[in-house]
Amino acid sequence: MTDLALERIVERCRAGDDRAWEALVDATANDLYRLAVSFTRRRSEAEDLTQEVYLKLWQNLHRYELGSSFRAWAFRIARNHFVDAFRRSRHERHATWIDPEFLESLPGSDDPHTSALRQQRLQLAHRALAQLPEDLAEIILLRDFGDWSYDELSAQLELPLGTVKSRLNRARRELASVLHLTIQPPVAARLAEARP
Amino acid sequence: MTPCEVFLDHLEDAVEGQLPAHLDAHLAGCAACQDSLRRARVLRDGAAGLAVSASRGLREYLHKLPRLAPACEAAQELLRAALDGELGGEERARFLAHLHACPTCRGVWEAFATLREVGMHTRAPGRLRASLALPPRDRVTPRRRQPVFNLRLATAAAYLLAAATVVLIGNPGNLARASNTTMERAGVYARAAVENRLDSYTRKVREGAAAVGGWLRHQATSTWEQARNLAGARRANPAPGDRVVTDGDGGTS
Repeated sequence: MTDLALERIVERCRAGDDRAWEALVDATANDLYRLAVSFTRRRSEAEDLTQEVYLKLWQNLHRYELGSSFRAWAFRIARNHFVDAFRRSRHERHATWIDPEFLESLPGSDDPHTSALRQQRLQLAHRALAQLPEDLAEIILLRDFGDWSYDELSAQLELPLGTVKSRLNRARRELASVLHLTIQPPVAARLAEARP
Repeated sequence: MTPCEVFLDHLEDAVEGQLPAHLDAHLAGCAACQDSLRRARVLRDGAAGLAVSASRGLREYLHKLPRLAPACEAAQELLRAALDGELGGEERARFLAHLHACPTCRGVWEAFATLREVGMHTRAPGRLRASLALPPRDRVTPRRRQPVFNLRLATAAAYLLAAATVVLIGNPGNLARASNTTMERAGVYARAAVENRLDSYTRKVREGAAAVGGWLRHQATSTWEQARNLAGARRANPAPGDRVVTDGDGGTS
């Protein structure tokens, strides 16, 4: 759905149209839920946080400035809320997508072999992402897990398109290097021995 | 231009010992220019002394830096393009051939691909969407689920267990002194846990009542609107009556 279409829906929401709220939820729920899934530990936690974010969106709808990107605005509110939540819980950022209960809900999880492989690869990715600076990990999750386009990333992160591309490129290169070292431990061990 | 100024223009030559011959005589008789030359030489020697060189440890570290094989480096470039769907036919074939031959690069690719695959399949669950679709004014404030593990309750249980153990197997002579504190603590924790549970249940009941109230209000409003619409429709299109009224001329109306 385009930004303009979303903006019209928001206008109808502000006028008290309940159908418009439903349409707004339909258009944005998957994106915000995916974001919650990449910040939390459990599926239930991701769902609770998503509900809290929508309550905030509802309460602050009058603050949204028509003409700006609604997605970017909603994303900022959601991200701030999630960051606050994981700071409040005194935990590091987590990922629901390695939670076995969550993985069981995905297609193909009835095959134990597929399921085990999937979990193993995700844990590998999770460990590698944890070694990256937060801004690099975030851009990878938004692009490669959340499927945000470059234009959306540019609007949401308030960065020029060129910066988004170069940052994503750097993030992927660093993640690939960390994964390489994790998969090929002898190289990592040699490096650790040589470190001055 | 004074001879001193001319000399300063050639100061770097003088430092290198290549001063033009016509300035040698001036330098020999000018204390200020000799002083300038001395300072310039000190600066040159100092800069040479400050030259930084890498330590042996750092050199060894750099020698052993993990370097990917050139084929893997090239494959990583292709991996980034593949993730954005920008691989051409020939590049794609090259990338797949490398993945086939290199298990490490295959592992890297699989981690990225699985992250993307799981992301694509992640959808907000139906019941969450249904709950979100209800405008927040019609529902109660969302609440956090209570964690299964309650620390306060577990602590109370641990103290009770300790107290019970002391009662069952302890020396009766020491019991009165030893178990008093434990029992008191157990009591405090148990009371707190029970109060906590009671609060939680009260809140749940209150929230449930508010939810039912909201739902009933919503239902009543929509039923009332439906009834009004129906009544409006009836007035606009009255259904034909069962009884046929005959007018004086024998026609019907």
